[in-house]
Amino acid sequence: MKDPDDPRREFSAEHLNAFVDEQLAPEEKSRLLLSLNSNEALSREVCELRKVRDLVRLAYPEPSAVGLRDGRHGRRSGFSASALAATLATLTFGMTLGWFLHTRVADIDQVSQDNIPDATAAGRHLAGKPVVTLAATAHNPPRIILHVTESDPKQLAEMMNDLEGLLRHYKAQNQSVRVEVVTNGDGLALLRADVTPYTRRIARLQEQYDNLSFVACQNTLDRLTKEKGITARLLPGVVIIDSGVAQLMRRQNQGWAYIQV
Amino acid sequence: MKKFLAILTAVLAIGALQGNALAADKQHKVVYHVNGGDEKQHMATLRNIDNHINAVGKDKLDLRVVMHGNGLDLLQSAQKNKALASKIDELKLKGVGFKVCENTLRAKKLDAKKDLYDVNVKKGPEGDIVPSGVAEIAILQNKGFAYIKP
Repeated sequence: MKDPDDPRREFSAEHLNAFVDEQLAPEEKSRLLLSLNSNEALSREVCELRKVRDLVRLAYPEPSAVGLRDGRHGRRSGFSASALAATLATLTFGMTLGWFLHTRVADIDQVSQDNIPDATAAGRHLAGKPVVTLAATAHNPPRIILHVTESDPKQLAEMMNDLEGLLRHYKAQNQSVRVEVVTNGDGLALLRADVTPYTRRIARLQEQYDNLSFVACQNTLDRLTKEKGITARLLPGVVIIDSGVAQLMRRQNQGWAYIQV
Repeated sequence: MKKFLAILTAVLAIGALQGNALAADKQHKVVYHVNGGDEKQHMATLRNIDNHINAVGKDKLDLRVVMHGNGLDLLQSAQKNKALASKIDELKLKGVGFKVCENTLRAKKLDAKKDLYDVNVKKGPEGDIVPSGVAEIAILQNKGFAYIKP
């Protein structure tokens, strides 16, 4: 066998390593493959190199193999940077959590003070301060779902009054608000063009308030078709969602207030 | 470094859990919504509330009843119905607040002092009249009150 460092050799050790690591240009690779067919010593040498490469890959899981092939040496500093970032993130998280819990406790204290009749006005004013800012920042603007499940005319009439009163209340206070009227089951009657007594009133509200939306439940629409053969026509501007109940859950998880009317 | 991080995270998690448990233990906040019903249903609602207080303990509970629309019938009936009135008195002694919607008072042309049972008409947080019942429910939910419609 020839000495691997022999300069007269056709391929240098470096060249062979590059071949094993699949880093050779195509024409160099095919030249070496040709020689491998005829040169038994060379092919044994390559075989040996491959075995070493596989052993190395086995000993170190994928990331280190990638690192070897990439030939990058920034791994150590990269790790400490990510560790630093993680520490900072944890600290920030902890501080936010602490602050949040602190304000919550303050909030609860305030509420309990509300109920004590002889708490002095000054004390209440002071304790109330952080709560006011909390409410103003975290829940701005207020978002409210009105859930309609009944088609009883008296209840619908009252619901419409509630809705309009609510919108007027926030408008009078110059405060923005978002209101979503979610209907399902019998409550869908409110939004059915062929049934509702409120076609014009709803159209007027939609025009007057762009922060108001009416939502109909697809499941209820499907059930009407299946059980009663009715293809319900809805009022213009009504949004259809998959499931009214699921929408109630989503909205509450997003922090919306829920009111069944 | 890794160990230190793990310990730090664990300590934070434990602290957060305990803080949470402490806050949860201290106070339950609940708003009951009443916008209709007859005297029988109103009595049942008040019994619901009493049971709720007994289950949780009145010192841990901030419970408010918000009435609007036909829900004001509850306090109108209590003017004549002694059983309803005494139940309301009992619940007030246990710290329950009964809040009345001003919009409804106006729409129904009711005088809170004359037509309704025991309403504190003073303005401000110690009074029993809120500008809008529906808005009040939304505000309370934003402050962490659970919503119950009996």
